[in-house]
Formats: sequence, structure tokens, C-alpha cells
Amino acid sequence: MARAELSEEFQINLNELAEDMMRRSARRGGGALVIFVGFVKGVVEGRKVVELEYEAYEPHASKALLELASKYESLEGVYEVRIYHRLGRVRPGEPALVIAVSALDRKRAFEVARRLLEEVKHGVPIFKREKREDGVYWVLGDSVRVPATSKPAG
Amino acid sequence: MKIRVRLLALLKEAAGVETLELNIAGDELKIEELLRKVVEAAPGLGDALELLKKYGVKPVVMVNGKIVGPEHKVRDGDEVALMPPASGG
Repeated sequence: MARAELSEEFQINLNELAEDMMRRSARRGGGALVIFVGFVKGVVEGRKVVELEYEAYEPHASKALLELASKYESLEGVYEVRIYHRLGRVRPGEPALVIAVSALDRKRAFEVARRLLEEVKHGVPIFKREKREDGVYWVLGDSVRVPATSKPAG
Repeated sequence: MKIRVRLLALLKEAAGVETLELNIAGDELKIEELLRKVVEAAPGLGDALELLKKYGVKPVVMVNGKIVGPEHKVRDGDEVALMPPASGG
């Protein structure tokens, strides 16, 4: 069953995740697993990154992630889809997003993981602030950076 | 009618407030007209919207969790969220 988690505290064991998904999809004829891990960059625009801080519009962001996982899992030849996205502070080298897709074959697994990734990045109300050695920036969309003026309210 | 407005990310920071409760005369109002009232209630937000325009970025508006356009009409009890483009991942 499709799973999605948006949390400040998840700890993912990638080996366990892979073994579990391979075992479950193998029984149904699956032979490919793609796991994408997006982690925090240590350097952006030549500047050292201290941390990212993620916030989300809840409960809609969690709902959107689960709907995306379910939508892609319902495609022919796809067996299982899982999405894990961090909230709060994440440091360079730590994972911010994990997408795992088990499928009938490599073509389907790669294609679904890639399409799902783009939808997660652009279609789910999740936002990040980037704290760097030269200041704090809001990241808007894929690459626009606007200097932050203060600590977020609320 | 009562409309609850949630501000997110950069827009929350600029307005200095996360939620606004607006009492508006009438039964419905277009998003573009609502935004004018939101800016009146939270002046810092106007500067942030201008800043987005300068960067060529359009704010996203959701009503009850669904993205809508400027012609959409809000009604009593709706929750409107105003946010920059998503930057997850």
C-alpha cells in the first residue's frame, strides 16, 4: 500500500526499506526498485550551507503526498510507492526526501520515480529556508533565492 | 462572511502573522479582491508580493487545499492560503 510521511523525525534505514520493498514486489512479479535520495547540499552558489529549514501547509501537504503515492502506485506495472519528506531543520549531507518505487521492470521504475519526484518538488505546499554563511534565504520554486528578513512567525 | 487566511513561508515572515480572520460584507468575493483586503490587514505582505513580482515569481493561492486562480470566488467559512511556489525536496 502507498505510504507517505512528512515528519521532523524520521530515520530511514535504506537497507531495510529496499529489502522490504523487494521482497513484497518479487512475490507479485516485480524485478526493479528505484530509490531516490535528495540530501542537503553543503555548498550553494559557492557559499557554505549551514542548514535548511522546511515548513509545510498542513494537513494539505501530507494529503497531497499520499495522493501522489497512491496515484503512481495505481499505474500498471507499479507495485509499491513510498515518499518520505523531512520537516524542520536538516543539515548538509542529511536526507530531505526519499522516494522509493518498486515496479515490474527498470524502465517503469525509473520513469515513475522521476515523474513523481517532479510532482513532489513542484506540486506539494512545502517550503524551505536556506541558512548559509552569507545569510538566510527563502528558496522559491526550483532556484530563485530571496533574502529572508527575520525569523518566521508562528 | 468570515474568511480565514493562512500565510506561509516568505509571506508569513513579511506579514509577521500566520493567520488572519477577515469579516467581509457580502456572500462571495473574487480572490484578487480578497488579496487587496488581506494586504490592507497586513501591510508587510504588500511589500513581499512586490518583491515576488520583482523576481518574476507569482504567489500561489489555495482555497480549502486546492489551487485556484484570481477569478475564483471565496465564500463564508473558506480557508484561503497564500504562499510562494513550492520548494520541497
